[in-house]
Amino acid sequence: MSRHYEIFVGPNHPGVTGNFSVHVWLEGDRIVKLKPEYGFLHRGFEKLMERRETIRNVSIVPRICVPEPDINENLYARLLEAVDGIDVPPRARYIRTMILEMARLGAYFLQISSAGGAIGNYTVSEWAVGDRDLLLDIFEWITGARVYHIYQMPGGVRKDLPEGALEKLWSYLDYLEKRMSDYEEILFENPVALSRWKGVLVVTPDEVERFGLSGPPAKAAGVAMDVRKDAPYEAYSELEFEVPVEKDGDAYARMQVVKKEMLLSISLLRQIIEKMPSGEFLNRPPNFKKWIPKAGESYQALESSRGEYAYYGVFDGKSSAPRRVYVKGPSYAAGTAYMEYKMRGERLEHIPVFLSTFNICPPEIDR
Amino acid sequence: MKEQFEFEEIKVKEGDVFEVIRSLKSQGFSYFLFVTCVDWYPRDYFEVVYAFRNLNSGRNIKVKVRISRENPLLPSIAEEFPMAIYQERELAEMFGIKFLNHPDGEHLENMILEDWDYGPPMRKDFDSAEFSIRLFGERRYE
Repeated sequence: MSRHYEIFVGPNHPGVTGNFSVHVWLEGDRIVKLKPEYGFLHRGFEKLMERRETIRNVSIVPRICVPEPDINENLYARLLEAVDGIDVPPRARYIRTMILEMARLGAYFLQISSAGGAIGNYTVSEWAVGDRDLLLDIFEWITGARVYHIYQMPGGVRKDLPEGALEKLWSYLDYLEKRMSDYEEILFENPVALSRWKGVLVVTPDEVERFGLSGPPAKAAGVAMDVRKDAPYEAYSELEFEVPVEKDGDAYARMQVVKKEMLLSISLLRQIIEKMPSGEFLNRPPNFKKWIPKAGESYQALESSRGEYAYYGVFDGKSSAPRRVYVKGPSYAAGTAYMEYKMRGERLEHIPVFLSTFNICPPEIDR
Repeated sequence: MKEQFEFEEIKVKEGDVFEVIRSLKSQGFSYFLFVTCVDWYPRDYFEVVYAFRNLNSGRNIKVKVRISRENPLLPSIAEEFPMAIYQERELAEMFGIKFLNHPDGEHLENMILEDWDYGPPMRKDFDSAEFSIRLFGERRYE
């Protein structure tokens, strides 16, 4: 006779990506029912943004997503630009694209760190965090801060690139390219990882559509959707790249997409460095204290490390604060209804694999 | 300025929401982006915005419905779009909207907030600064 258990995985656990807990009902080690429990990180950002003057929100938004804060800055800046009709100089667009790609790399480092931790491979956790630290050094060099950069603002970026920043980034990319073969050996093609990933948690193209998945899970299932390609923003229309796609849809395919995405980010960053135009870095917006954006609404999206990340914002033209800003994170789709559906009948050991290969980011759900 | 995504927009009445969304789904708008609510206080309505995408053609569509702030009630679309289960629970908790035929039943509160009985916090007439002073007392740091 099998035993019935009811346990919690998380909120603090090496295999859990962030403060997020999973309430599991088990029969033996088979999952009978699963309920994602979140709310540990609810800080009421959307409400907070409705209370503050437009420009003060620039320093609030990066705190929504800890592993990848720059995407929020970019979306908020673009939201205001779209509503208020502000132009962005070409150099600023390139700098922003560079920051976004660097942010993707940083976020993928944290993902492979947790993917390694989830299968007991702690070496890769340490390595990835160490390599991300070198990236944060460059962020600090450019923006003055390591995690929350508060660098992109409506009209461009806060300050110009310091001298030598591009060279520094280029030599970091050289280092990283060599380093990727180490990661290949220790994580992506590691026999232990293969036995935990191959054929596990297979996503089908039909599920992608039905549950609203995007990013690496969708690409691993063969659905080549990528906001950078489908609706190019910033300077992506001037860069050359292919959307990385796999066809198996299992955890291994998702991690292969992650690996390809990291290599793609390196190649995009090299293109950006080569094409970086000179000129203005900021098109000054109106006087911040008197700035009341025009009435209107807009949906701005970008391809984050986890998929389509978007802001839907409404301005009423009367107050400086937005009437409503809705943050749409890709983890909302993967980490709630889809997880509940997918994990039924799977084994307990697959929970960390699910969380790390889908890279669930709970602050996107809590906000 | 050109928008990044072109959204077609349809405005529907409260009673037609479910039928309209179901027919959109059968026309290929089966990729659910989000549902959210905009509070137009002091005017007496909420505007609930649903957004969908057609993955084959890349077309996007927004469905907007106005509902009263006093008695906000909508049919649940969770049967058609499983992701809406959680999005609707969030709307129920944050705006106090009631959903008919929701898979989790009638009482949808307590998803993110715990032991919360101070009213839906995302409504415009909920003043969070005033609330925190009421709850914790005014503190001054010299």
